[in-house]
Amino acid sequence: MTNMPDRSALILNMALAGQVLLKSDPRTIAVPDGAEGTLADEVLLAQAAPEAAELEYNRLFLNPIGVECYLWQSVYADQPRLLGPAHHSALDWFRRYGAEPQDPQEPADHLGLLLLFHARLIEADEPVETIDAFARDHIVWAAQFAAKLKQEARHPLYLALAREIESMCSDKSGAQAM
Amino acid sequence: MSISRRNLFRLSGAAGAGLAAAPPVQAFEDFFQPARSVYADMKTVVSACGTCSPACGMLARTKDGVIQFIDGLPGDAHSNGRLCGKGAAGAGFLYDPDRLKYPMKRTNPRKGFDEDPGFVRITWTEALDTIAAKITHYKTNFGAESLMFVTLPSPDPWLRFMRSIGVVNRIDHRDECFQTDMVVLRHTTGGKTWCNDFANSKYILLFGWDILAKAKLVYANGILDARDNGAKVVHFSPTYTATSRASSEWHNIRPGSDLAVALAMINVIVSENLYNKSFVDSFTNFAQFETQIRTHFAEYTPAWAETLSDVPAAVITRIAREFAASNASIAPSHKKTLCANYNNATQLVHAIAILNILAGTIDRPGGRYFPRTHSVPGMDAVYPPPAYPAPTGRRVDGRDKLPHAAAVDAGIFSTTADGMLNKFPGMIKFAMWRDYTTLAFPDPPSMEKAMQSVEFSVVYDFLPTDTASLADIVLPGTVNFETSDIMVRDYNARFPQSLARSVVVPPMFEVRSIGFVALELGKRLAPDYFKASDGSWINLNTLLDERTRRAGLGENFADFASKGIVEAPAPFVPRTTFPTVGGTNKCQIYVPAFETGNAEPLPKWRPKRHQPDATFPYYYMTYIPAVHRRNTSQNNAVLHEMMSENEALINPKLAARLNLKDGQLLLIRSRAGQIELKAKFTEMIRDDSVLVAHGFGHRSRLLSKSRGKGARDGDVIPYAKIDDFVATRNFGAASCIMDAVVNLTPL
Repeated sequence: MTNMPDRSALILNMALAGQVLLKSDPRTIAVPDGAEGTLADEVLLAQAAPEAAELEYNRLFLNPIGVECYLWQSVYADQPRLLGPAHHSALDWFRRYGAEPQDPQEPADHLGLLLLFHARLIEADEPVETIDAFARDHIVWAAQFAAKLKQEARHPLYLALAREIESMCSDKSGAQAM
Repeated sequence: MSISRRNLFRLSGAAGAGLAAAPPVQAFEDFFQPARSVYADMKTVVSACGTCSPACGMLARTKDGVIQFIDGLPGDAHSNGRLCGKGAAGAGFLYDPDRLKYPMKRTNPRKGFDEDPGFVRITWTEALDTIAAKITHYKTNFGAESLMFVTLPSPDPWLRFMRSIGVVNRIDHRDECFQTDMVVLRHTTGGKTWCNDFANSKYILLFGWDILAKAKLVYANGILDARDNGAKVVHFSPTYTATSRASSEWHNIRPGSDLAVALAMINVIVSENLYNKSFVDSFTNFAQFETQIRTHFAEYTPAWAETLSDVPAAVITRIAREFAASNASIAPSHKKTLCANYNNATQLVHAIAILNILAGTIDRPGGRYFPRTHSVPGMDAVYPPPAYPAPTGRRVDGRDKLPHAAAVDAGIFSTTADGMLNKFPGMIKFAMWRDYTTLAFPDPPSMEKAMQSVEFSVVYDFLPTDTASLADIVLPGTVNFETSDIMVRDYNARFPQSLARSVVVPPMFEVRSIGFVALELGKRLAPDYFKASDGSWINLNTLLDERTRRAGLGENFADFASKGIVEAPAPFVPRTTFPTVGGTNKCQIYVPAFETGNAEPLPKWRPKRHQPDATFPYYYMTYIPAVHRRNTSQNNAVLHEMMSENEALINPKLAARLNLKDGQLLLIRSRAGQIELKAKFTEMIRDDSVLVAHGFGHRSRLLSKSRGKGARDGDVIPYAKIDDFVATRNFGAASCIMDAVVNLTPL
């Protein structure tokens, strides 16, 4: 874990990043006790002025004539689409652990869901091989997402999010190489 | 890798101990639930293709609610068990990452393509409440004429909604498609425009229609079957197409002169008494108007037609004689063809109708026939509505000056920009677009300029079209895989063969059907029209069940869906009465009703709208390529890969005169506007013309594959004016899409 001070911080920041990706209104994001770092700071700041962050969330991720920060892993495949192989793979991972996304109408390979699941795997003390396997399958790709987000984001919350994800992916890329 | 199965839910016992010492990731529980199943759910679903209108049978295989493969439905007589390439690529619409996903509203009041609308996600309730409030506001303060709905008049709940609030201005694209045929056929044969028994034809006469590449598989199968059976296929077209290649002979006709050839053929058949005397005497009004008919067509000789069409008189005469001599001849007219799109198209389809009548093949084997379908009741039959308010107000498209077009509820795309910009500026305050974009209009920049004066607009679509850029609210729509319906199928309908369009996969994200939108807006604005007799709200599923039951297709829709197709094979019994308007059960060659209403009872020669001149010396034509569906498929991953941009197709001889090189950028300029495209040399077009594919030049930033690819063909096509239609007797309101002339400058 090259960029994280400890396991707890990693879990908290990963889960926090997942929430930021899943919730457009920063006031609905629960910053866990003990969460530290730029992303947690930016969430707290955004909660004080939520309108600008919410507008930015819509612009970056939902805007029908906006930018291309797609939230789904299948869109970053060689043949971009929704509900591609990454969706099925993610669903398989979730089900092996008795879980399914709450909303069946949303693709399972949403980066926010993937980060939450990854955090929960670590939290549950799953073997490191398992955690690395999931990262290889479903986290490493997010470096592309982070690069795009870094390029397009204007609000500090999402710039911090891009850096956080970039850091996680960088760390996981290293793990993969091992 | 072997992975032990655990349960990650903190409260589910087994995992609890393992998690006790870990920091909580509470959000996990917010977004995950205990799994309902472990293994992938595999299904095979019978449904109907929705890429275009014939609704070919489709077999879809799904895993976990995701389509894995789609194929034609074996045993489906309608489509011979096949899907065309566009149909097979249909899942690309469903899984397009760019598709609209949630209702959105604009937060930036400034409108323009260079403005960021600042869309934010809202709930369906907020969206529908806002739309309902805006409709009420504008209708109350400016009358129903201030509302414009850009949509086809279907499905039933949507039509009921528009009627219930007294919509005056509903417009659609049919003036660019088969509207002229609708106007003419109700008077001449009473038949439907797209039932052609090609498979049993012996002589097929095609004016301009690239029937094979247009990829209505139903027709393509029929044409190829006919060829196999020894039929002769004659194709008149300014471009050599897939249909030309499959034809027995192809004639490189001058653009806009099809009417001259058709009139001359009638001249030959009538003057030489070659018509099917038995049919004509028994089932037409020929005898009643014989003097007028013979006199009228006498001047349209093959020699006269040759001077206009470049088709030799001897060839016209020969083809006319062959057409009349065959006992199973057919001349169809149909969508996005030259027939529909020249200013003289109404006269042309009237002439084509006369050719079919003279051949005596109306509702006869090998001819144009009436579809044999199940009788499926509409919403009004199941839930009779209160009387609808009479629509009052001005028509933005000027349709009231063309009563024969009004009689088929035409809504004219080509004249709408003129209405909004010049005739009735500021009249339209509210616009709701459903599955249309400004690309579908001639001169899209003018339509976009007109739209900027609209105070509030809504777009319902499955993709973020260019029009969405100007919208105040965007509603995400379903595609065919996400909806249910009864498909009666009237393209290949020698006997009834209805197909259940079943939901293949559940709707993604928050997309909703237009039926849902109609019902919810109806509840808010016209509740009496959306209640059953017991006072409860109409339920769309109950409506579908009841329509199914009354049509005899099953006990309910689920029962029908379990069967897939319901057929009622029966011998084809030719009609002896023809339900023409004012025709006393006979086909009408001379149409008395066309003596009024800015029409003409027999088709006269009328030139196309614009002729080449010194300033604009070349013909400009557009086409829909085989791999695309109008302007809606360019972002489909598969179809985009097959054809991602358009080019200017030009004959090498003309290119040489222009000193133009293959691949060089070419400026195409008309009186309406200009586009730039790469030149592509082809011998398959006349050397006085340029040909451009329709559907490209999207600008919406989130159409990630198609944006900025190619150019909009419509930018070169002038919008039309209703008074010009009146003056030139374009009484079917043909859109003049093919009438532009241009000059060409290498860049």
